Amino acid sequence: MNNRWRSSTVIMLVITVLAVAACGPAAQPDTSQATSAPAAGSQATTAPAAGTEATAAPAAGGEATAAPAASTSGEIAAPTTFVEPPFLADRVKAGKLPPIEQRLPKPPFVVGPGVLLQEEYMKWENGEYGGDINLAWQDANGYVNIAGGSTILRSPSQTTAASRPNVVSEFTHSDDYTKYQFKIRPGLKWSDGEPVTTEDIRFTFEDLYLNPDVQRPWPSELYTQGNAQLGPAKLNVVDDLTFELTFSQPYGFFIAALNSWIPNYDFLIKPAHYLKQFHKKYAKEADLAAALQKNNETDWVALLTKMDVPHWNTGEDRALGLPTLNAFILTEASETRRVFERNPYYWHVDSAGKQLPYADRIVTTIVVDENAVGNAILAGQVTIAAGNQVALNKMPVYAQNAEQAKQRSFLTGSFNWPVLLFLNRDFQYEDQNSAWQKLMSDPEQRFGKAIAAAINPADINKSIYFDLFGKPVMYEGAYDPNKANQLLDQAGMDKRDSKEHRLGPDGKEFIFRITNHNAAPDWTPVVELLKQQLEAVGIRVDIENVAGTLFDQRKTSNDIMAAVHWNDGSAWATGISEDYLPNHKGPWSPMTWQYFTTNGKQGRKPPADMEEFYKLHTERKKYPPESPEGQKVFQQLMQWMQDHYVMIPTAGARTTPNIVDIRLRNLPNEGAPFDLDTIIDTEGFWFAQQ
Amino acid sequence: MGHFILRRLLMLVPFLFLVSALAFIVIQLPPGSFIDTYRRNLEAQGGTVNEAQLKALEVRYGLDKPVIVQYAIWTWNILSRGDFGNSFRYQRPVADILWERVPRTVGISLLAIVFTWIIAIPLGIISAIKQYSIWDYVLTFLSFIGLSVPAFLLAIVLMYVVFTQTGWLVTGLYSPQFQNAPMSVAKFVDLLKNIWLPLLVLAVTGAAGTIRVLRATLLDELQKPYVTTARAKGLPEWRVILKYPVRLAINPMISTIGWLLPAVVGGELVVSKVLNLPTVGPIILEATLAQDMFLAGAFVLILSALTLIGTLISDICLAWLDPRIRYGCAAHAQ
Amino acid sequence: MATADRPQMPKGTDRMQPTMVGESYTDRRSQELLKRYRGTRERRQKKAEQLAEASQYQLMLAQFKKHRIATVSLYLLVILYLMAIFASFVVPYDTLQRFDQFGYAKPSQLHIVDANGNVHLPFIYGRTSKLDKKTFKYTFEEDTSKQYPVRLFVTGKPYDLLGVIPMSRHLFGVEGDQPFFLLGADKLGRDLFSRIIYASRVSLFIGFAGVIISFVLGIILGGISGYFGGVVDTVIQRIIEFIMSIPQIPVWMALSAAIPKEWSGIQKFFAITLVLSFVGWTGLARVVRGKLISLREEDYVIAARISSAKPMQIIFRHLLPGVTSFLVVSITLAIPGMILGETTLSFLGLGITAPDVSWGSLLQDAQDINAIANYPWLLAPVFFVMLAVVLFNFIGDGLRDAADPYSR
Repeated sequence: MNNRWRSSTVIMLVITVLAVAACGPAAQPDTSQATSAPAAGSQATTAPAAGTEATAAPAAGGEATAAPAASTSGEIAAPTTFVEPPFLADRVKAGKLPPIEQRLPKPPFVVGPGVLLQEEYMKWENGEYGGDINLAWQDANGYVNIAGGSTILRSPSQTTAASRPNVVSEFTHSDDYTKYQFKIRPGLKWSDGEPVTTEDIRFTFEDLYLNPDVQRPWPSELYTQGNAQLGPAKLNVVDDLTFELTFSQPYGFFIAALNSWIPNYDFLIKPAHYLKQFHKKYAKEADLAAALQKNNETDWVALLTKMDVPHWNTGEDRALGLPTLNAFILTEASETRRVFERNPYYWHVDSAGKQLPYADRIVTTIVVDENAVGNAILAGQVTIAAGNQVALNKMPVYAQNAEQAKQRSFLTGSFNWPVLLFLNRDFQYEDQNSAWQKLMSDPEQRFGKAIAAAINPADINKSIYFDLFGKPVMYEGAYDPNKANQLLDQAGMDKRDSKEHRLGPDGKEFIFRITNHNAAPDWTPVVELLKQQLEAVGIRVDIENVAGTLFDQRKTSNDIMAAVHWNDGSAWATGISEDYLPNHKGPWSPMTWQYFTTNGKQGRKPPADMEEFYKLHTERKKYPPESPEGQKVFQQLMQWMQDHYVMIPTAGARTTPNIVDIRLRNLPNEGAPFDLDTIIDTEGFWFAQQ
Repeated sequence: MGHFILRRLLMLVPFLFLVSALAFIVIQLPPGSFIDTYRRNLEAQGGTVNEAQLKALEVRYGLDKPVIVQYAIWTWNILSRGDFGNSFRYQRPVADILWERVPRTVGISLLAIVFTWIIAIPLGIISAIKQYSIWDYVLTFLSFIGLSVPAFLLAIVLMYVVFTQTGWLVTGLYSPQFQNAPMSVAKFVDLLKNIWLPLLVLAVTGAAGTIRVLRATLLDELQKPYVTTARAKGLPEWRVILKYPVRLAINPMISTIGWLLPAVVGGELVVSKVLNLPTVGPIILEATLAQDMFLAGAFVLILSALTLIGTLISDICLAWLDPRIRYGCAAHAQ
Repeated sequence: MATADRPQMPKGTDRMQPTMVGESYTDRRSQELLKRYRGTRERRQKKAEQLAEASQYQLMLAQFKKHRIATVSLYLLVILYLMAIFASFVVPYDTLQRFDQFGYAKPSQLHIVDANGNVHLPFIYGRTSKLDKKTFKYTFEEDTSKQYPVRLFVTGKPYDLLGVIPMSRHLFGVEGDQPFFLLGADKLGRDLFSRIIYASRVSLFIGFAGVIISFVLGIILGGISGYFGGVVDTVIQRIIEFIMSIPQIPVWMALSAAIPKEWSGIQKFFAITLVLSFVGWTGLARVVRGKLISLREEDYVIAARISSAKPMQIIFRHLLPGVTSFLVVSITLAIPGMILGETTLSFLGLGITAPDVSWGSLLQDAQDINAIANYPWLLAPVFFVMLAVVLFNFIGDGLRDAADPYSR
């Protein structure tokens, strides 16, 4: 009992700290009232739209007439004059691009301290233009789909509470979170210069999602409460820039989706003027036929699907020419290289009037082998390497080489939790005599508790992770092999066979099978250590190594008893990621999830305790995740998951190194919570001269 | 002779079919398909998996049809339009990828073979002439090392040694700044700085076998009476050795050229994976594992074609060089 | 002349016997020479008789023994295989035994002289590890206060020799609880030397198993092809060419990737053997075929055919013995290819996977610059691979020289 209480307190503290940190800077906009007329009884998180009249100032050092007014990002003063990036100066002079004042919307989004990342995690300095960010990735898309992403609303780091309107300039919602109103930034343009209007949104809804020929699947975020059974959002276009979305049930969680880089902006807004040329309803016959031939396709729907590149794939060469709202656009796609250049119409600026991104280009070298990434880092060819690119056990040679390669490294926390052990409650649920089901349906959850007590995260931490990982994210201090033995005895597994392995509660041989698909190189050693630790309390462990594809099949056919997997636990509280759900990473109840999503047509009817989980899950969707109600429900959800031992961490909270060029500025500080921010905040990085 | 060549060329086409069919079947053997790999990559990056979208993708790639049908469609496309299909992983036409990588692979392999011979022939001759001397032992020892060490490990160790001694790390064929630049003197110098490593590794591992074969055959020849006769007649030593025995000893090497090409291309696969060379190697390894069928199948097809052509060329050369084969003597070589 | 009373000179002297009274020099000398040559001739005659009666194998054996390097290689190889078979005795630890505090430990240093300058039997000091947080490296410091003797036939963890005989003595080890790493430890603190010797079981025997399968296939198909000729020959030849034209590594990879991962170690071992020999048998078949073609026109074969022996009889009883010598040589030279092939596959992650070990899978840890820079002892399996390959090649050379009648 003690352990549970203590860890739930920790969770509450963590959530409170995050919430306070996130809510801090955003406190002001709530108090300042907007000039636009709010709908009756709505809560505004709007910022003043007026006060950026200075866009007409000529480039030759003209004077601003209006005083700097409160900007759209809260308390950071909006610039009145803008500085043209030297990279684009030639094009502007030649007349190919309009000058910067005409490219930016009114108002632009101002980036400053605390906007991209909380102030305590990053020291923001307005930067200088110039430089190429060089990368080496195995995947053309890996970095840019995250680094160049643009969300409808923007909260610092991986939070969703302190939303500043990003793509939109005004954002309101009804008290019961069923109606949302948006106003697109006036003057916002796609990367090819075309204005962004509600026509883009209408096209997305009517001609893509709702069109019977095209039948693009609805993104799950646009379903009411994320549940397909409750129907998708209804769009109401008010004028060129304003639109409304209406849901059939309260759906406060939608705010998280609007802040999350996982769906990004393109689940809502797609470049209609570009995609119409591939749509039968709008394109001329001859043009469509020519496009089909050029792209070697026979069916216009296939062509349309191909050219509507999701943001995950903006590094592929089919994305050449696609208008985006990202900070970088693909300009060169060759076999071993991708080059992304700054988006001239990107609407983020700093308070000194410079248009973000500071860096001019991102040049990605595509390598096939993961060791080649390490070699590229050693050879000094890489400007930024973070997350899974930097394996902890390769750090010695990186550290030795850092001076020569002009790099430095700093440690941050990780977006991913360490490898977790998932116990599948649905395994063999149809079998009356299943020993596993007997253990899983134990109201005291003794088996799960015993497993948590048998695992020694400190040992795994020391052996595999250089003792760098912190405390386990759940069940901290649970390690107690004696207790594990006691619990297993109580659970009915007290008898042993000739090899000292425990027999199951039915008296027969009991094999605890862990499925491992080794998606990262540290999983296999972790599983081996797990096996040792569990066998030390008498459980016979069988490790089943499968290929990734087979893992998915096993998941779908409910063939997995226990599995190891990582997940995005550190981002659950804020709603950025929801992969704690029963079927998302390691499966812990795939069949009841199937029942839930098909509204009872397939799968397993959830037993009473799972009903409670789904009730909490549905309840959570009603509120924004970081609102007081949302936090309360989330805490109950986490408590439920802990009490039922559905996932058990094998090591402490992850610490991961980030390796960067020593000239780079505006990077997260040492000890920042998420390695992902080292990638997401690329627009703010700049090269200081030596 | 012409009859012989014609027959071999006719056999080439059905062979290639069979090879490609086999490749297709074998690549499809592991459970699942590319769609699973795609889903996996998406999840690994944190994306949400939309089942309906994946199903649509599956239909688009034609992966929902049985293997035979997929193979038939693919073959028909190749024959009728020269269209090798699209790679799932890279979302580009396979033919483009082939066109970029295969010439480079063949180029490096041929260079490696030339280097192998440049190293092996003189060393083999020296080893045979100075039999049982210190040279012979040293060369035999070195050739055994070349024979027994896996090429990729030699590559990694050499890479490390050069890195620590000179600070230069070989990370591919060109440094990133030269990769897409037009050819210039600087780019050529950069190429030289990088290409010596794979060539050295491939040549060393290839030369080992050649040296020993050459040594053995040359030793046999040097025992023959005509050599003694030539010496007795007062020919200078180098002429005695080079004019006949070496020519005869090179015969078996020529006959193995045909098998040398696929061996070098194949051995080069793992080396190029380790050294990140932009050749066929890394792509084909990855495509096989990811079940990117059209890409892997096309590469297997091309490599087999190269092998068959290489064998044909070597047989022609051998027939041309060795009159016994032409005239069908009973003791003709296999 | 009576030789009995001639004074005997010391044996081995080349001096002439002293001439007796009444004996002429020539008589005596001719007697001596006659005796000497008679002895030699007798010896030579005896040897010739032996040679005439010797079977082909005895001849080969005699010739082989003359090849010094080959015999030494044979002894070394036998030692290597014995070590593999009796691995549980030879090595101090088993493959999964971890020492938590010793991740990436250097090879243990054997001392004979202690800190005070006294000489003892070999011992090691205890070591403690510390992580340097700046460079992420573990440093090990020796604690010179306590000595741990290293002895032979030490009692260690109990095991079953060959799976049946329970024993607890190991060939060498440390008395006390400090681990003795002959070749260092890997990331999880497991003794590399032990793992290498256990891995040699897989790597060395895969060579054998694969070659046996190739051998059987090669003989049958090569034999049929070579003997019957005609259509059968052409068909089998085309099949051989077809298989040889497939690029090896992709096919190996694809086949290995198709091996279900949940098979046990033994099953995977056999599956990989099949994969490797799938391509390997062709070389053997060609050798057999070539030889048979040249042999089948021989008189004794024609005689056998005339006396209505069945074709299979002719192949197996008459033709194949003539080919055996070549076969033996080819097999010996094919094994290294198999070993290298398995190493490559396991290195790519497709062959033997954890928790089983083979040399190739051990080399996976050594495949990046970090390992070579900071933990170079992880490369040790390469030397074993090279040793095995070189030994097989030397033996093959020796056998070839022995089997080739023209080299005498």
